Amino acid sequence: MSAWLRTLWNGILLREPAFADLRDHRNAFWYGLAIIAAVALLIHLPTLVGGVSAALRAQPVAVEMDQAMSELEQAIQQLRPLFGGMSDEMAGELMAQFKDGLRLGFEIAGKVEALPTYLPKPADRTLQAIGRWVSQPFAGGGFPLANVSLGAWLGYGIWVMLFAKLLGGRGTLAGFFGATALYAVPHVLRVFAFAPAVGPALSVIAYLWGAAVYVKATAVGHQMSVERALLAVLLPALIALLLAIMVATALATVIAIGLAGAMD
Amino acid sequence: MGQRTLSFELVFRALGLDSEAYDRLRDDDNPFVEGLFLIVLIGVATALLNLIGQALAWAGTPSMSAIKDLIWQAFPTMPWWSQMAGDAEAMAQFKQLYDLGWQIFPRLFGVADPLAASLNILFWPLAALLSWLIYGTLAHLFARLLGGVGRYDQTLGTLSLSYAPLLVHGLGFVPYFTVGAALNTWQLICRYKAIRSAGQLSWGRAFWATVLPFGVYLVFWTVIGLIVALGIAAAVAAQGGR
Repeated sequence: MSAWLRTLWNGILLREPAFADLRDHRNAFWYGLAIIAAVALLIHLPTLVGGVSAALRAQPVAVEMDQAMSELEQAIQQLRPLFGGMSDEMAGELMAQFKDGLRLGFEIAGKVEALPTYLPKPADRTLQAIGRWVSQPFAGGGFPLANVSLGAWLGYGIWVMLFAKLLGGRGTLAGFFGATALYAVPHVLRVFAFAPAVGPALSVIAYLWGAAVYVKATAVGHQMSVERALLAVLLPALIALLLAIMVATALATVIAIGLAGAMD
Repeated sequence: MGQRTLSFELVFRALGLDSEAYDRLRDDDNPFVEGLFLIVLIGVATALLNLIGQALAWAGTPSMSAIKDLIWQAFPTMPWWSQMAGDAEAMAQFKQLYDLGWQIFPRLFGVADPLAASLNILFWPLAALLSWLIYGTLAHLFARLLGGVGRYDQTLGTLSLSYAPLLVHGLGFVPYFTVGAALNTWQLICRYKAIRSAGQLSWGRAFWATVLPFGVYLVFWTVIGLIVALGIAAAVAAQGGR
């Protein structure tokens, strides 16, 4: 266990032997998967604790409705300047209709909540929180390397692997994925993401630190220079960005031509 | 009686992208039979585990018909109801759409349904078998075109190992467990390993033999889409001409 933790520690300090050890291990891929799963579960632990405690002290729908209504009132007051052209009377009528609809929705939700189930409600809500938590390591990718999940690790990894190979990399799939899984370790900082003020800053630090670890892991995993590894890591994202810009430009052009044609 | 190569350890190694696991199944005396057994086993085992989770989630969900009735009873309090209530035809149409919606949407949003989940014990192995045979045939053709030396049964045998990531669906015994598209990526990587091993191809050729079958799928579905679109357009034009 201590050797395992030492590897993780050396990894986040960008020490080459940590990456080389993982790359050369027979179960490199499984070690990588274990790192991703452990970190994903750890950083979502506060959400699980919050979910389970909320499940055990579930509030009646009426209380939730009062909270939602007061939050809505505040949001509308803040957004009021945006409805510049609307008279007070008209805005008031619109709001009354909206509130009626919301109240009716909550009434239905309250009645649905009161319907009988075979499993007690707190047990079901606890299972929901656990189900969501267990699903975290298997979530999708999103922005490259921003998430700690199988989707981010494998989904972006196959593209980096391809570009690294094209740039002369000599790594194996298992070794590469084993080494690059270390990018997840700095994301442990995100356990404190809920903390006001420092939370977002910690998330940004975790992302940048994780990206640096990923570049180093690619370099060691493929036995190539850090410069080439950086290129292999950046190219998939840059090409995707370029393609997105081209598609958006083409779409905008088609729409503009269509609009111009309709006006003629 | 042939020698049994398939084992838990072999599947574990294949999931961990160990080339040796794929080579071992390739060199089996009948890789096709081993592969067939593995595919059916994965489909049935994951569907059974998933059924447990579905049953637990169902036990914690109120009856869908009770929710449906409850919402229907709430409609008369809505302002638009009084306008529609006077028109019997509009009411009948609305009720029909409402009933139809309740048949479609709960399934679409993954509401727990143990009956449908029990049908998966049959459906999942069948779907996996179909996908295995179609993809395997295409991949074998492309591998041969690219210089692969593997036999058809070797390609299918090693490719069966690429269905092992679907075992993660077995975690569905935890109710409300969901898994993203990540498994498809894992499966794709395993497919590449399988094709490379069966055809004894270089990494570049194995890559193309892995992705080209998806190109065929894309062309196939584009053609189907075009035929359907043309059919609809023709039907609309025929109706307009009457």
